Amino acid sequence: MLFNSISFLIFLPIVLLGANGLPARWRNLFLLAASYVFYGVWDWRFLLLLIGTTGVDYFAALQIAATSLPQRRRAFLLLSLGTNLTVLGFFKYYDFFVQSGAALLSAIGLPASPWTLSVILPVGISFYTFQSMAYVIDVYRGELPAVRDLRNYALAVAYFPQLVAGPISRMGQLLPQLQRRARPTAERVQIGLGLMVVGFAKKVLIADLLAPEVDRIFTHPGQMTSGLLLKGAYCFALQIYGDFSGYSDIARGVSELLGVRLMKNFEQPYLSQSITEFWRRWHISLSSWLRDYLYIPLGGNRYGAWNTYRNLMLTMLIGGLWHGANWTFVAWGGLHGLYLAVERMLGIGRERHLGGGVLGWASSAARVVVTFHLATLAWIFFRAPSIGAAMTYLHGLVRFEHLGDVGPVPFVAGAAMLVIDLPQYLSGRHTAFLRLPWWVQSPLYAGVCLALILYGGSEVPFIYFQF
Amino acid sequence: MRAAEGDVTLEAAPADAVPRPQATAAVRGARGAMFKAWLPALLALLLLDVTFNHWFWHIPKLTQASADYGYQFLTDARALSTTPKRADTPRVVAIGSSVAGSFDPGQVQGLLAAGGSAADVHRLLLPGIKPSDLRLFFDTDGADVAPDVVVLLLNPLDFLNPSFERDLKPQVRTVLPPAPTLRERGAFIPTMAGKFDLALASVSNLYRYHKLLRSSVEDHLRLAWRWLRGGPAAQGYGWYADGFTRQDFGVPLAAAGKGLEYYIDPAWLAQRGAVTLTFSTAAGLIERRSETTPGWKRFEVPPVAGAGPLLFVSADSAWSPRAAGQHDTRALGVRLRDVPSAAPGRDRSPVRYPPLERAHPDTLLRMNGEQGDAFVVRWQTLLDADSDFGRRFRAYREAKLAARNEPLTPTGEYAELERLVQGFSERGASVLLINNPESALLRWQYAGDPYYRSYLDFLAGVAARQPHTQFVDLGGVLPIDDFNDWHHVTYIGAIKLGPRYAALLKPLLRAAAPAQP
Repeated sequence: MLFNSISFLIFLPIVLLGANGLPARWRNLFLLAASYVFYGVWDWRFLLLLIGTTGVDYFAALQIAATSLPQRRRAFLLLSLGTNLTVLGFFKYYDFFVQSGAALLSAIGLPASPWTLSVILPVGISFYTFQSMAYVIDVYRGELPAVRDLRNYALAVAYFPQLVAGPISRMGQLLPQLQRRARPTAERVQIGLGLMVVGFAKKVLIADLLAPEVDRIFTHPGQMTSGLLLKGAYCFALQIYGDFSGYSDIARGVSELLGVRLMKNFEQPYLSQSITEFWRRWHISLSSWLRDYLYIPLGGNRYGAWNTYRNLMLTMLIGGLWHGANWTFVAWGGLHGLYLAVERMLGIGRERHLGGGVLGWASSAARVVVTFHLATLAWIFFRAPSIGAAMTYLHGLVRFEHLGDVGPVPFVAGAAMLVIDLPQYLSGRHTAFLRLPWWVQSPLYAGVCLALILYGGSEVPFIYFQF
Repeated sequence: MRAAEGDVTLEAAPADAVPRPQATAAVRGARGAMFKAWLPALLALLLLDVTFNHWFWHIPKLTQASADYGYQFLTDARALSTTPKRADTPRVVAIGSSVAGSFDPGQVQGLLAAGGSAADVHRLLLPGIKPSDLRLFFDTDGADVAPDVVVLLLNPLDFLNPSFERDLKPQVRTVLPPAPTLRERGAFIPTMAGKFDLALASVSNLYRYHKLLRSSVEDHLRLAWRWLRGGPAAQGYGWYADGFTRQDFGVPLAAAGKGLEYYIDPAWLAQRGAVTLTFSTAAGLIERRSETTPGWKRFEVPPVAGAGPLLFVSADSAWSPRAAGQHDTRALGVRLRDVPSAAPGRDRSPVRYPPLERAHPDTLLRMNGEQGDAFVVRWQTLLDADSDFGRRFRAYREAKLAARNEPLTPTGEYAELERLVQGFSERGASVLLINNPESALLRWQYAGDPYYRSYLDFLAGVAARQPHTQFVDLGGVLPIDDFNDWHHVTYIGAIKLGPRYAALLKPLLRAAAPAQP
């Protein structure tokens, strides 16, 4: 079920009524059932997968907590990790690795006929398996107690606002809130509604309006001028940000209406002054997951410069692969790994705020521009259907002809995004709009709601649903 | 990378805790802030919604029909429903899917007037609309259109849809009244979301008409952008080097200062009956002239303060030399005696509100004005291409050919057509059923087959069963090069059809007494 669908417009009020209005002992059970309905509407068969993963991790965590024998603890950890990674690997990567292996064998002259299954990818599998794995690892590390309350644990895994595209919440943050979940206060309702309005505006009024032009340009990059290719790259950078951060805002807003605070997933990433800072602001729940469960266990920055570069590169390559079974995502991750390693080598990446004085401001602005373009360059690999198509795109781009074809669209969309982001950046709060006087908020809400009514009927899927 | 944090501290109180007095005050404050911000916004939206029909339809539609057919259909239908009929002039309404583009109401009205039959002629066209949709529309929202004569322009494709109730096309759903549509077709709408969509549209005008409002907003923004970018118009526009003009043109007042001499071609009057020319400047309208005789004419330009640099001339129609037997595919207006020397490079008129945006129909000739064998070659290339157009028209061909030996069962859209005609007849309107022209390139492949013969027999049967109803088969009256595809005629083909439609309507108008709404 999409947040921007008619079905969700029916679903949400019913869920809010039930989850906030039923007697306390029934509320979370109702919310769990609603979350399963939310997921099952897409394909009920994959509910079994979700429930199975939930059951295995619940059981493994309890067993780990119940014993102090290291071998037994490790066995149950491996059971959980093995189950999750097998499920993820089969549904997401089986065909990819079989085809890539066959291509490799063919390249060295060995005949190979790949046995692919055309496996359907269950929506949100990457998100909920990562969340569930993190919980078992935390219990194994002794950082979290094992949860005995199956109902609330299942709810935390299946919690519908974040189920299909994150944020990838940590159990330590989510479970206590679900266990103590109260009816939302007026303040939280206002925050929730405001976040939903901002999120829908980003999705429907920016991302969805840019989508047709992005599709047109990325479908036939060989037929486009450099100006149009530049336009396509800028527009996609804005589209994916509007789409994904819009989704996260809506998810957080909906969750506020249920009395649960989800973590921020984005903090104005395109105002970053380095790629290192970009990754502190882009898809925060994934980047922090990769840091805590991959980069640091690999050794982090504790074993010298070259090991640090290797760890950065490995983390970003796996982060790229997490997005999908395609070499384009690997290339995107690799490019970011390279950026991060180079920045670390050069000692870049500590700045946060725009500097003081004209020179400082200009220097910070220049860094923001450079960082945005580096990220945009990497997005070309992310969006292109194949490495070959990405190379065609880049080849056309560096011809630098007809640059005027870029037109006003990306700049207008960028300015619109800046109107949303800059107050948040300067105030450090996602809810900066709540500080505006009511006579400013009110026409803003009315205007955005009207615009959403006008443009909201197309039900364009969120990009991150495919991951 | 760092852990994320919220903006506001989390609620610490358990679910059923009793709030303390200070907390209650804070809660009241938060609740007040929320209502202050949201209540006016919701009230403003509610006000816009309930008053929608009082303000929206007064906003001029800035673009031509093809920019948004649904918007045009509803605008035209609403104008017909809310404008009282003239007691002494019958109202003629031609209705149909995209094939109804062959019927130019202005041309037919002009030809009828020239022949002594006054009529108020209109057209309601929506691509993809079927008899079942039309029947639903005229039983509900369209009841007040109250035509005295109905021209139903039909093509066999309108009937080749066995599951018509389920096939509610988005552009058709836009024009149908949502509540009756839900009542009548709810059982056939497969998803809850589809039903909820109609239910929501039946209670909210903003939701129901959001596509129209969006078109209007976008059109106004585009016009504002053009206005911001364009400077004051100084150059003329809209004429060719040989002195012929387009339907709309502007000449420098300095050149027309002594008077504008122009020629009304006899073929124009033969095609249209009469021509109305509007002369204006930046200061406003100067004169509106009706021309009913051919030949050279003269317009004296009076001195007007604030006139600006241009004299604007707009005709209510264009004429086609090709339709008059000449080898010229242009759509033309008058011919100028003194062709202004300034380069006629600009084709678009200066920004005015509402703008005079007309498509130049000669630029819409898909076959580029080809004739004979060259036409066939070009058509075959387009049809075979791996394009949306090629795929669509190959599918149309397959649909017609697949049905040609099938028995015709008069259910589905056939039954709906009969109900539609019956409804008009019961309201006292005369009905003219027309099997509209089709390209011989396809027609020869099925015209003699059982299904097509049964289709024509069915239409003739409806005409025989329903009072005040006639059926005419115009299926084969146009040559192939008057078509843009299998069944959509070019503007030249439409001009050729005008006199036929007018001739068919003339006897009906004599018999038609204006019906009561």
